[in-house]
Amino acid sequence: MATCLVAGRAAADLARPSGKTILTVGGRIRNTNDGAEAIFDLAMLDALGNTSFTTSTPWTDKPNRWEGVPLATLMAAVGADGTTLRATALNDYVVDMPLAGLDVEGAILADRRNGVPMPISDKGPLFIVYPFDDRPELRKQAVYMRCAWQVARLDVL
Amino acid sequence: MPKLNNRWEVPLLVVTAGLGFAAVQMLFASVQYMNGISRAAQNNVVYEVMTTAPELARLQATVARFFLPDSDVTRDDIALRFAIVQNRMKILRTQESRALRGDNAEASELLDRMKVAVEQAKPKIEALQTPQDAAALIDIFDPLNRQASQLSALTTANAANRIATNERRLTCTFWLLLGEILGLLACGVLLISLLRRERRKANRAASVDSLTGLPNRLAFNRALADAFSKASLPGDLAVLMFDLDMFKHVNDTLGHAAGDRLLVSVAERLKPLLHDGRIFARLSGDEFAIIFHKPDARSVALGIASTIQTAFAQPFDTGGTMVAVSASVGVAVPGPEDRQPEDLMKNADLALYAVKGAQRGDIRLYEPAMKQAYLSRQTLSQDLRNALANDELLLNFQPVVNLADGSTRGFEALLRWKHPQRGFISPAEFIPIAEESGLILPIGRWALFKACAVAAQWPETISIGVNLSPQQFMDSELVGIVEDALSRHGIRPDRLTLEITETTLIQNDQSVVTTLNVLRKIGIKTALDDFGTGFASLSYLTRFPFDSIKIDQSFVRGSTAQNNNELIIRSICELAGKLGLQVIAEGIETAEQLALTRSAGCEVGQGYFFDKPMDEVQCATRLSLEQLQASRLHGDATTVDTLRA
Repeated sequence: MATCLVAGRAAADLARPSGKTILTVGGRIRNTNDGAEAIFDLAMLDALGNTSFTTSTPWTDKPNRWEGVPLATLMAAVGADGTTLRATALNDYVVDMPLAGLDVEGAILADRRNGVPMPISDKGPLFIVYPFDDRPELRKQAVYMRCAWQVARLDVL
Repeated sequence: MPKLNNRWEVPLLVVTAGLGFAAVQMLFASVQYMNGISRAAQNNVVYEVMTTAPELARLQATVARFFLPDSDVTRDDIALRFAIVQNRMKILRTQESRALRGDNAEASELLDRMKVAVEQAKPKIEALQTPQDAAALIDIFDPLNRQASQLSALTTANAANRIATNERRLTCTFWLLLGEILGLLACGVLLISLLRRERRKANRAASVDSLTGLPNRLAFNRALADAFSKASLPGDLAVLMFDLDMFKHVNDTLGHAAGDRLLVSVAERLKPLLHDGRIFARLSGDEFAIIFHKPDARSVALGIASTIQTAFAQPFDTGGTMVAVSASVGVAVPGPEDRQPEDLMKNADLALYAVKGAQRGDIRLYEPAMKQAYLSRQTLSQDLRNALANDELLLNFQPVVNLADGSTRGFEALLRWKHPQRGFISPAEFIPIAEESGLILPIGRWALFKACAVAAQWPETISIGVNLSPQQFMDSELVGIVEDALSRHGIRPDRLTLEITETTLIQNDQSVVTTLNVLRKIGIKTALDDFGTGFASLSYLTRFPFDSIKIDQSFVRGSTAQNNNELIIRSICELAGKLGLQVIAEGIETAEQLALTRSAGCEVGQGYFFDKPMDEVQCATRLSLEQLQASRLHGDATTVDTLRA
């Protein structure tokens, strides 16, 4: 479903970031702003339209309010044309997740916790979070593995 | 046996239900357990710990490279690597991580030391200036390398333990489930075998006659259907059916318990004699049947029929009382028209019926004429249904006379049927049909009213006799009907004589006495008809209140040649006289018979010698003539005057 919507979009160039780049999206994407890749600063990500929800995770002791752009929205923005999304973290953690279902499951690329941008020393700058408290069926190993923190790069495969 | 089953049933059901419940619960628990394993971020935890050592190593390497000549490492790179390590420390210290790792005191101490070291390092990173600063920083991190490796080892061992525990629990669950399934299986097998045993018992019970232990009608029909389908030659098969003569009489006089014992005795005595039969069954009541399935079954069956009759020659013990009974036997072999086992049964039944109709205690082989007779009886029964409405029934009257002078005392009304096609049909033929079909009640009622209507034309001194069948006599409406008939035609009750046969007495003992008394109270006379042809006649005379007895014509007709009969008639007359009963001799056909019955003491009689049964006009003529003769004889002026007038 998501793939269909994405495919329907015409290729368009993205604006260039004015601030510090915190995310690079590469791979099979149609919309770029840096060669074959798309780069984002915090403001650009926020401009895509943030979503927020409160949930607990296995890596935080209390529920927190997570805010960020939904991965599905981001994929649409870059004109993703693949089946798999690979996230790479600053600590070189790598995880693959299917593109289909991102919109249904509601994963976001959180850039703020409780309204405050996250430092690298605490899961920042970007953290893939699922609404575990709203959707208990997501509480399983396969989904936990997708929750990469210190995300610096996304690739559409 | 049923007790044993009952005792097992409830516990077995409880065990089955319990095992089923436990198995379902176990399955749910397993699913939940699996979900629990899947939900816990256990894999992540191992990875989290395992990456700690490389992250520390990369930080140290970055710090070292920073001071190498022509290094491209920046301060930002060092800050990034340090932030990653800081982040790692936070992750390792979350409650869920600790819980999943199952941290012990040793692990907690390691974590604390690592945290302290990272905090110590923080200002030193920010103030990093010289290679000496770098060496001091690396010194702080050096023990952490060892501690991270130890934590990794501990976590891995813990994960291995957890996997082993999970395996153990799964194995345990497997064996428990297996046990429960096997238990359920065993209960199922037990329940099914109990069910099968019950069914076998029910089948057996359904095919056995509980009184005699012989196969019952169901089993017999099954065996007959089987034999019928297997008999290759028609001569291979025969059915013998027999019943006890006057069995109802045994029940009525000795009680049903004695009747049952008689049936058991019959079954016991015959069973050893009937090896030639394929099955010896009690069909119902006193009806038994045997199937013969062997070459020349007809001869075998007839041979067995004689054997049965011989066996009946000795009286049976019914628990103290010895009872002599005879058996009537009907035998049938399949004819070309008999396509169904039922046809054969019907034929055997017809043969038995033929025995009953002719002479009880005899043997008859079915012949097609019996079916013809049966069918014509059926037709006649149908016709009889319409006879009343079509006015085909009529009454004849036979004079009952004073034997001294031949004068008419009264008439006995006799039922006649003029069939539109067949002409007059003998009462001997149609009365049994009327009795079988129940038509005797409306017909008898008609006859009673008609007889009273005719008698109303006669002088008041002339009586009218009407025969009642056993069914009529047992009809609860009888008294009302009789009173109705009398009052409608203005007949004085003492002019009406109701005649019943001994059969009526045999069939209904106590109620007969009651009805007789009611009728006599009204003033109606009662007569015992066909006296001397049935059972224990003399005792009936004292037990039942009759006004008269009618000696059966067989005694009268045989009386001239056989002195015994004369003696019997004389004795009956003497006994009747002492009991205050009038005796009427039936069937007087000759002057000799008249003389004999008169000399034997009879005062009243009837028969062709006096007059044949006549219609109502002839009755009126006879009565007028008699009156005329009487007036001539006595020279009675008034009568002569009346006649002249």
